[in-house]
Amino acid sequence: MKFHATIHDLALLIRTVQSLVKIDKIGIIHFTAEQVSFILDSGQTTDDIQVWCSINQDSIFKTYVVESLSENEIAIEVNLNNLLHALKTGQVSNEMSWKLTKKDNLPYLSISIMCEINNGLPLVQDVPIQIITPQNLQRHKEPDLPEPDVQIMLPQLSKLQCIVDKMKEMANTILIKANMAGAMSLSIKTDIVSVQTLFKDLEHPQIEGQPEYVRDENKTAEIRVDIKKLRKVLYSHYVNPKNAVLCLVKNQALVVHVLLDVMYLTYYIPALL
Amino acid sequence: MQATITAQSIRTFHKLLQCCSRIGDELRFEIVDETLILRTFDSSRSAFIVFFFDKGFFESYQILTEENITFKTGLKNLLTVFKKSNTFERVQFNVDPESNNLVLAINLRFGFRKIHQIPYDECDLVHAKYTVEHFPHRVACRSKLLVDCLSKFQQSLNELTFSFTPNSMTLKTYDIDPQKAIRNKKLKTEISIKKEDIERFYLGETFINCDLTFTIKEFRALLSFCEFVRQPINIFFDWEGKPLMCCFKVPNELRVDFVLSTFVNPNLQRETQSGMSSMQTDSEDYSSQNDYSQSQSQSQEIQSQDIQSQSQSQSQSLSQETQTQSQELHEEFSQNINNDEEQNYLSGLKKDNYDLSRKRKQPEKITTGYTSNLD
Repeated sequence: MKFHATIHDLALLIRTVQSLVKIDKIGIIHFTAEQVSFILDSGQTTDDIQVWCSINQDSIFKTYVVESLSENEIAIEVNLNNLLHALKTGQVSNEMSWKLTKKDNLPYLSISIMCEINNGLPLVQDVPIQIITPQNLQRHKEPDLPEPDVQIMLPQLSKLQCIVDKMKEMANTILIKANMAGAMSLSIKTDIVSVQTLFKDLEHPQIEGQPEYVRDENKTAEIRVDIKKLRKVLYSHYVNPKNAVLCLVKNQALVVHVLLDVMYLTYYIPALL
Repeated sequence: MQATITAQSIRTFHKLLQCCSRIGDELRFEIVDETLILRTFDSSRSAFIVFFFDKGFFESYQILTEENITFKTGLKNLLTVFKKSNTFERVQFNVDPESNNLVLAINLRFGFRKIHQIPYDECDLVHAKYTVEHFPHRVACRSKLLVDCLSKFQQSLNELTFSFTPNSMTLKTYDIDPQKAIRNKKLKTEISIKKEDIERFYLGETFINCDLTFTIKEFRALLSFCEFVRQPINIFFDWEGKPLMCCFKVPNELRVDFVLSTFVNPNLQRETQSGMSSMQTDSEDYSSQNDYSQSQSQSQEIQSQDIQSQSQSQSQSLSQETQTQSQELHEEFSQNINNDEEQNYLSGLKKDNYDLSRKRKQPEKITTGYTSNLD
């Protein structure tokens, strides 16, 4: 098993890890020939948010070598806080390279940085990892959900986060309603107060290989989710996405797709019944 | 004693208080022969910091009585007084032995005047025994370099290791026991500085590659003060288990000595044997040193002897093995400063005019003898 790579776009990587670390502190990184994927799915066991993220390898790495016995793919489990700290220390430097190493019989992701201090001091951050075998990796699968009832493009995520921030002080769960005519609403209701934010004239995504959608006011869906979970998901505005798509699958989950040219982040938030 | 400080000295004093509050709970004042000395040490006596003030730090400094006083007061009170010190124009310190109060009269902007009376307790003299002669190896570098290096480490870190080789100094996270660690979860950071990048890198003849591990909290406190006064820091060391000493000074104003205990890495069992034998010979040196100091110094000595509390307070993350194997550090505090030693220390640095000749008092009780756990 061999892995070494040098980083080209550290900023994108840091922003991605910053969004992911808000969800869960442990994550799986899966290196393949073309993609680097992040899987955060403790949610499979804990009814929490699951995140499936995939980035084109050549948008982050300058040089990239992955070799292993399992079709040249490697999967590791890391603590995202450690990884984020290590990446941040390399922000000001010129070179950062990654390598899988073993020290004292323990596997590490060794990040070598030429610091900016004193015109270049060698800094090594060893992030402790666990190797995930291909069999174990098989167990992590993206949730298999039926076709969403409503798919709608979200307004700017940072603005949404502000709104949800205020709402979270007042209630625990939030009701999201949307229809296929560009209208969406976020609402909370308690004994004392009810607050509703309405959006209109939103776009709907055109999905490849499917017939053009028809604007239909009557096709609506609503889902209730935990407000704190929704807020965590909205941290994905860190990556400066081009588009964000909300999919409602009645009674099952809220799916948020955050999209960039070179990357996608998919969040699965379980619905509260 | 009556002293006033203004402007930059007020800021320096405030920073000093913040540094001390991260090390211990109390500030001990010693006013002797027209000099003011401040000391703080932590509860387990594993970190010790001393500030020697020179007349240049004060706007005015007067001794009102012939007596020398030593007293201590809580740092929390002093910090509260100095909280908004950026609005202070002048601070006057007044020691009032009748009411056992330290009176701080502060002139603020717009003619306001605040007077604080802080009660103090008389206390014994406690000095750090170690002086720079005890340490054969020395490294001097800019404090900013160390501060920048430390910023690369996680904030939550408890211990730090300095690893010295003939050509470099490496800062790294402390590895408790990699063989036994079932799942090593901590991020390991390592940054190495070549000796060419360090201002002064002097290793004595007895030098062997060593790893000095110590708690990072007190060291960070010291570094933040050193960076504030923008002076280079001198680090003196010997061997693992022996303390680390850091010194720096602000010309004409202030001199700072800092002694920090280090612990022994249990992974280096074999090498420690030779380290222990060198400790044996050192113990003889220390007792002879004590004889010397007995005849010279005439103040009370306090012997501290607390391994367990020392190890426990040092770090929660220390494993049991480290605690039992960490070398006992009986830090014996004795007065050990006289003019000759002062000259030796300053020979590598610029000389200045500290007047440390002291009136000697009769000793009441003296305990001597450096003991190690090898006996």
